[in-house]
Amino acid sequence: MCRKMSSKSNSKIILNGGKALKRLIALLSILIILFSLCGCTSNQKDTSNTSDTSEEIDFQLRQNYYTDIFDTIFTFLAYTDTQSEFDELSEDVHSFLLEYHKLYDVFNKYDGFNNLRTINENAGIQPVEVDQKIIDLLLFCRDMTEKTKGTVDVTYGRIMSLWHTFIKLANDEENPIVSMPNDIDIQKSLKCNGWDKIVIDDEKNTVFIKDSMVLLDVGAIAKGYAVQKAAEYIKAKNIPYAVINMGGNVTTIGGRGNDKDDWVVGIADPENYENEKYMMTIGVKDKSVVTSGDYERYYIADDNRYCHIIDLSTGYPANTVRGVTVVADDSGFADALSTALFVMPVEEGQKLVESIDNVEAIWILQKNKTVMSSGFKQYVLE
Amino acid sequence: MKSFISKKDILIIVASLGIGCILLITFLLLPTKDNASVIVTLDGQVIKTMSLYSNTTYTCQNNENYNIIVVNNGIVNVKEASCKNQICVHHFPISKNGETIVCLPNKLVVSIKNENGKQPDIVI
Repeated sequence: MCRKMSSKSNSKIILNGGKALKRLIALLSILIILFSLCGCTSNQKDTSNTSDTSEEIDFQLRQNYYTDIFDTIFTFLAYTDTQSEFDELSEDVHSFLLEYHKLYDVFNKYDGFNNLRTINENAGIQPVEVDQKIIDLLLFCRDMTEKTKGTVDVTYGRIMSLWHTFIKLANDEENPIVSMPNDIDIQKSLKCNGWDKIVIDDEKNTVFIKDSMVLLDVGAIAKGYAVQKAAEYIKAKNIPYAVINMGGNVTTIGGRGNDKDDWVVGIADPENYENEKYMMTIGVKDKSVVTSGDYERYYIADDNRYCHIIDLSTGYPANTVRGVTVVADDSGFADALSTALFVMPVEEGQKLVESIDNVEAIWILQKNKTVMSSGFKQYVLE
Repeated sequence: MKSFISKKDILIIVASLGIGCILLITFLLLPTKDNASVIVTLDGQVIKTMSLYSNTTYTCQNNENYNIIVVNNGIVNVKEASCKNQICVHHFPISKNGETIVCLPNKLVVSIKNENGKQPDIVI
């Protein structure tokens, strides 16, 4: 807002005919020029009416939060001209993702259509007809198993489900029970896996788990995959600058309010996660950032931490590193890769990252020591 | 020799330009109004936006569920709530861009938005 400039006192100028007038004119023209410069620098708020609303047009960052998708907190940020435009967009994206959430849900069933829970319930029984989105996800997951050399494999649902139960029991609000699954159960569950047992018919749109003991658990990939689809959806609507954060699965569209500035993402300090402390910030634009860590879903027994990411070679939760953050173009790929890197030995993970174009990562080891891939530094802000 | 512009004229012009420039620079250097706001969402709908610098107490009531949100001196916290786990009440007071207090049982999220500065938009 331009402040009023104090009027120049004219009392000092002795009115003396033409010369004084000249001076006055010169003075006034200078003041006018300065006033207009002043106006140019202030934030112009255009309150002109558009269509049927007299809402103020103010291109700014707006945000909303949802708690009903993928069992996590979904944050949506976007720059829009008006609040009502944002509200509509936000609800649109929410509905879009809600559909994916229901389809990929292994815990709940929904009226009128089959989902992943239906497929699991019919393991060893019959093929289940499902939405193309499930077929596409599973084909993507199968590809990820290959790309991560077997480290991430959604057909290991049985062992994952075993640990989920124990983590849930230990974290129960009313009556927490801290205990360990016994090794025999672990090894038995671990054996129930294999893409050879999953029959995906891309034409009939059916999925059949041939072995009744095998279960699908898409937790390592589904969120990232759905977020990638949502990002494409938002881009198709010509929204220039937005961010989705699905509980650690972040995708950025454009920059922060313009084509130049990066969105700022903080990488959580595992030692201080409850206080939302971050150990560094990175700047990204049009990239996906996914973190896998041991500090969100876990429990502690006998001074050992048991988190929800399972090392499929042992049947036990991985504890190589405290966290991994991946920066890549595709959110689904970043999700799968961050899980894989969390489990693999760091050197092996580094080799994998270096072998892939346009992917960078940072590993957070014990005591917050870090290892970065060769190109990660370009993202680091502080 | 009589010229169109005398020395005195030049002096006045320079003086006023000088004063004008000083004022302009001062104006430009003044911190722009801090756009920091507190945003309250309930079940995915933004129900309240307040300036981070207002001193207000806002009660979000949803049937029998409630959360009392206090904004004071640029710091926000949940003073009281109807939820069983009271996680929101015990949460540390928030004040920075992107920080949030979540009350899952009541589907409430209190967040801070502050576009100025290098504070992260999200922490993961």
